Amino acid sequence: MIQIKHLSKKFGALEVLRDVSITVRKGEVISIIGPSGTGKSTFLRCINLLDRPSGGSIVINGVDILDPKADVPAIRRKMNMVFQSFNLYQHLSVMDNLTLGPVKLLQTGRQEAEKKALELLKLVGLAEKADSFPDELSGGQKQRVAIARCLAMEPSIILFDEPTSALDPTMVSEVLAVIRRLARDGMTMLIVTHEMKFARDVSSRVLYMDEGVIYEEGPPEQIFDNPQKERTKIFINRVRSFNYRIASPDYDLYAMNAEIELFCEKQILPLKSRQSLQLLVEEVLQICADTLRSTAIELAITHSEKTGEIKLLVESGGAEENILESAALPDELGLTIIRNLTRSIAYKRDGGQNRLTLILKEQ
Amino acid sequence: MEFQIQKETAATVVAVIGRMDAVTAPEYEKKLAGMMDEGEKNFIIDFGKLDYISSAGLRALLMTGKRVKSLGGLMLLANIGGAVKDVFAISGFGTIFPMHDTVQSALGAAEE
Amino acid sequence: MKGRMHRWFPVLFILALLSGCGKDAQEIRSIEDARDARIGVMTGSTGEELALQMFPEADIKSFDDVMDAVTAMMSGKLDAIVTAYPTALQVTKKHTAFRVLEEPLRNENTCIALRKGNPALLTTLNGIIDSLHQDGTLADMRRRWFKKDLSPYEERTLEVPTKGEVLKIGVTATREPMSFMDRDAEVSGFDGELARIIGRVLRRPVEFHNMKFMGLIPALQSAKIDLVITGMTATAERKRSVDFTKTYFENAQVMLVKTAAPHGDGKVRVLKDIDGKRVAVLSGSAGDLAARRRFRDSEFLVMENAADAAVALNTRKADAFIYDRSVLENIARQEPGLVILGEPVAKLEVAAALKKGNTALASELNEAIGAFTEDGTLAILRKKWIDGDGGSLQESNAVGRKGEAELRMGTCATLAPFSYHANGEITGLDIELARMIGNRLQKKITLVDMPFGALIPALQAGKIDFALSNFNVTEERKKLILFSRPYLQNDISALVLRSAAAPATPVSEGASLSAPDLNGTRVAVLLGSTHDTYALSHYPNATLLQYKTPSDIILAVKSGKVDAGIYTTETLREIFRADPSLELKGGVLFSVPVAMGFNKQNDSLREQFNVFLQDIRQNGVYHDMVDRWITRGEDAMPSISGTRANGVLRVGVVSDKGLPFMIVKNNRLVGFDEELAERFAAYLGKEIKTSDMDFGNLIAAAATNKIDMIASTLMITPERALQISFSDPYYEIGASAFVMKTGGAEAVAGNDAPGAAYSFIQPIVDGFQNNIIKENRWKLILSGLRVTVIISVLSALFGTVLGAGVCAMRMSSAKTLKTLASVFISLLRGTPVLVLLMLIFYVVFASVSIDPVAVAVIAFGLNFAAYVAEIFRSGVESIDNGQREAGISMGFTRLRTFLLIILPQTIQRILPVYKGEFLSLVKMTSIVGYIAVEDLTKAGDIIRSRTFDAFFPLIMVAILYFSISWLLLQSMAYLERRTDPKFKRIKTAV
Repeated sequence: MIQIKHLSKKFGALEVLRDVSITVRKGEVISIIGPSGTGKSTFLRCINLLDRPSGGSIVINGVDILDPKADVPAIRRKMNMVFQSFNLYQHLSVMDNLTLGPVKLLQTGRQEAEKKALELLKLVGLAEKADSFPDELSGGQKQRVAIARCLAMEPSIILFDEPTSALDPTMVSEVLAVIRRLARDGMTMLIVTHEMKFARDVSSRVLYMDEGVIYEEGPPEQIFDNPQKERTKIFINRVRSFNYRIASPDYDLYAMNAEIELFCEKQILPLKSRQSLQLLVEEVLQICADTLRSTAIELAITHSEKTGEIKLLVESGGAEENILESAALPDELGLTIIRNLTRSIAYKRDGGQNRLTLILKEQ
Repeated sequence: MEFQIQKETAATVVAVIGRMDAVTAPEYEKKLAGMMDEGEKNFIIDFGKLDYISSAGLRALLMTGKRVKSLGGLMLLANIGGAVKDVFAISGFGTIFPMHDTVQSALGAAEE
Repeated sequence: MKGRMHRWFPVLFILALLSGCGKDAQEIRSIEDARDARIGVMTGSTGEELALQMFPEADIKSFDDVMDAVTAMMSGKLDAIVTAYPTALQVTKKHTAFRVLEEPLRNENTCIALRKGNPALLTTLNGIIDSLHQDGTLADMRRRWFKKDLSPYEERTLEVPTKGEVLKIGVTATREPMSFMDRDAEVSGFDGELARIIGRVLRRPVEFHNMKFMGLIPALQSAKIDLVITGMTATAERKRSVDFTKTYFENAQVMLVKTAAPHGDGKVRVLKDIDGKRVAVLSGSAGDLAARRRFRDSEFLVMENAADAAVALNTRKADAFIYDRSVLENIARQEPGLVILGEPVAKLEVAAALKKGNTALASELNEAIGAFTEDGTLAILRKKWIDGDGGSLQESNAVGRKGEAELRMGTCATLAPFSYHANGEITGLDIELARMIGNRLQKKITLVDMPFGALIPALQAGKIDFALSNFNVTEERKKLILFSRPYLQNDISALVLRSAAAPATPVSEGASLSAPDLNGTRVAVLLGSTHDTYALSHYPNATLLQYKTPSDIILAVKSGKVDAGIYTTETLREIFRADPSLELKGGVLFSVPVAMGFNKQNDSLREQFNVFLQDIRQNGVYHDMVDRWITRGEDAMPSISGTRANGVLRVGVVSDKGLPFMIVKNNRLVGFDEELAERFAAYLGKEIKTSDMDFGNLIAAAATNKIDMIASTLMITPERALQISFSDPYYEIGASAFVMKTGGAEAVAGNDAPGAAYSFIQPIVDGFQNNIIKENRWKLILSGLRVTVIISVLSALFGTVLGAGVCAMRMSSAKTLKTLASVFISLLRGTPVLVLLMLIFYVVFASVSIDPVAVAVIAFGLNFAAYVAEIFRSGVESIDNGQREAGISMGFTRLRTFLLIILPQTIQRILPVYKGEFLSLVKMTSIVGYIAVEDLTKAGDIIRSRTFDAFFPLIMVAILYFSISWLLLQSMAYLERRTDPKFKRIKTAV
């Protein structure tokens, strides 16, 4: 349905997309993941010509949309976009947001459009908000309305540009639920997202974009569980992990705790694990207090979905030493706690860095 | 961290609320030091509302306990549950101080 | 501007060449001179045919009407006019610059025409004509009807039979003095009289049928009329159709030419200038004698009466009129263009005249006069009649007592203020004196009015006992008659034309009033006026405050902002009539002649005005105007009729100058200037259109051809003469300083008295009455309100649309459009609106006739557009880009995205700021008065200038502006609500 060949996009001197080629077939749900700034959104925006590509070709249903004679607005009507910042029409009610397109562009009668709109709102669970205005809705509600608005145009494909990135974690699920439903109903979708779990559940294909190209693509099992290429691997891992840098002994414990908590929520870890993790981190850092005076410490917490294993990585520069052992301690309390919380503690010197890997005991 | 102080005839009951970690432990030490300066020497620490304790907290307990001893006073721990209990367990702290399940029993013990 | 002018020069030059300026104006002294001149003739007349015959090398131009030819000759396009003698005579009466050449071109016979086939009647008529020739009637008629000046015809009333077969006489009653319509719409003139004589002889009633000349012969032939008596020449051709009687009048075709310039330059500044010039004198008067004795080389024009002599001066037929000073003073008062020379010609005494040897009566008179001198009666008389305006005669006791002795007094009742006709009776100093004498002598005085020259013979013949008629005592007269002791002393002085170039001199009235010392005080003057200039040069140490309107000056004085104001003396007098809290300080500072102002290029209009002015001076209309407006202070406008076919005369006025010159009354302009302008327009057959502007703008408006004429008692100054050209002066006005009366508050009676319980309400009620109800002034306000609203709304509309366009340009990607728009915006936001308004009116649309309201809409609209553009832009830019992207990605074109999504949100956002700008606009429109638009503010000014009330009109105007703003705010709020998308929901919720 969509054939993209050697797409490239430059913003001034910056080449965001180098050479992207892909074919999208009907009914596919394709998630696009990758580090920030690698052009995922740009790629999406090129498809519906919000940004104009510098080179390459895009053929949609046999129509080369880069042809100056192409009727781009008509093509866009069949290909709607859901934005990160929702972009609902502020001056119109929810109902009017949904009916504007159909009435003005599809020549649908007003009554018919309103009937359809109401159905769609039911679909996304917001029928009672038909007469509300965008500024009266929560983020999640807005995004759901945005999706309904797209659907009102009966598109053949929907483009999602980080649909949940601007949402409070509590509202992410309601939106994802709607998208899941659409996938189930067979809508062709391209979704740029950071929600790995979601992407994994819902996609038929995953694209990992990096360095201006589609670095790796494949079914979700491959990309998430078994990435083939190096950078993919790094990325997948990184996304899974929580990284925190501590620069001084007077670090903000509570800020860090909050982030840890966030990470845990995202990973949907039980409370006990959370508490143990926090304790572990605090104890480790207490011991490292002296080291912190001279070097920074990088913390990384990773959680493997598969194994459920929670790993704490403590990395620091400086002289070769195992901090846990070398630190001068007033008592054994801290160490005891650490030892009892962890299943294993491993020290490695790797590329000039001291690496401590502690694996949390199962709770 | 917050405190709830209740002076009983046998001892002063100090309920600690919140977290006793590297940040808040000094507060605990200071509080008790202050009370000891005023002449108190018998304490019952109520852990009912404490959510979290780390080694720093344990250390603080040790320090204050030592001082209480030197004054000839008593320090009893009561109402330890949940995460705090686990930490006590894994740190081997359980034997250092007399531990009671409730404040009442601790008070009873203190009277003797 | 300069560039434009240069471009036109060659065009003008060529036009000038082509417009027959080939031949120079010639002076025609004799028929010979006309051989190759430019001659005007009447279409279809015998004169036309004659001219073509006699002057084959001349340039003959035909005119439909003699007046057209006259105008042409006055502006130098003709050298001579050939026409019948009676017509020519009429012209010279009115245009004394013309004269008829002595030598006639051809003699023509004027006869009565009658139907062919009526020999009996022909014989009878010839018989009558013969007898009229023989008994001198015809000669007498000729003398009486063919006067060289404007003295009245001596018409003989004839008794005409009323019974019998009517004699129908065909006439063309537009040929004065042969046949014309008199004031009572009766056919008058030589022919009229002749017709009546014939009627009487034939014992038949006479009926006149007035028709066009061409129709007379056909009417005769078809028996609609019986005779044609209308100065018709018996030509061979006509003889084929009708019969003619013998000649009853020897007519001639004559040549009318312009006289050469008078001897010398005609300007008389001091007494000795009169020598060698033309002097008007009254026949047999002491002035006559004195003048001849003093100025032996002068040329003397003997006039019948003083009025004629004044006319002669005004029309430059004479350079000086020498007569009694008191009479001259009377004239000078009414004719501000004339002035009495300071140095007298001679000093003479006035006494009663008696028959030589009538010593008895003489001693009685002397006794009476002596008594009157001592008890001051004569002084009072002098003051009343000579220095003052006269008035009514004192009652006389010696009236109609039977059997009483009677004294017959002769007088020539044509000499104001001594003896003259007024209100149907003879009045004057001499008459009043006569009554007093009669009272004293217990005798009845019977007045006998006779020509001056007849008085001495009448005395000598004993037909009258004595004469009181401003008789000057001279040696020659003493030889003929006896004089009483003098009762008056007269100066014989010379009256001359005040020349326009003469420097401003103090008015030559009796009392010399010192100029007040205004140095060191604050003085208010009218911006741009001669008072302004005068004050600047004469009071360098005074603080001068220049105001735009006269009512502002008054207000400044009354509110104590200045110590004194300077304004037109005549107007001030009117103002003091209505406002007793002000008074003059000192006398007249200076007086200057005033004239109409014209665009420098429009010389023909100016000439036409001068001709018109001469006309009305001669036919009495001018005197009547001065009398009504200035002397008596009336304020009623006469209705002036006239055709409006010849286009429009645009006149610039200052509507609040003040009476007697110009004011608004009953929402209509009235005043001396207004009447003069309206009469002129009627004279031209044009419709008058007045533009009301501030005094300071009049000159500019005339110079840029926005108006044709300035009618605003415009003083003639050299600076102004650089910009515009002036007509002949039509009046002279003075300037005086005025102040608040000391203790002014108490001096003013009435409602301002503090402490009165009702005094708060009363002034408001009065104010309301005066400013709104009286003279339907509310109509003025309503009209001003309408103009303000129209300008505001139209400018807003224009500005909004233009602003949207400029905004689009400003936000476009094309660099040129963007720059253009930016420049437009900075320029218009950086220029004060007033300056913009004046620029557009006076510079951009210079010399273009455009409705000033349109100019206002353009100027305000442009200014508004600049602000609207920026407001729009900020509104659009404040809309989140995502809105646009959502629209685009939905499939809307850029335009529809803008219209459906961006625009509604923009409007919502900018509405509050737009509202503010709109209200500013409404208030800004109050400056349109500068380009002569009568808006609400101007209406307030006009009312202020009438009522001199500052508080009420200003408060009223402010309230109205507030109301307009409030109303507009309400409607915009309504608009806001309607466009608020949440509005509908709130409505349904409620």
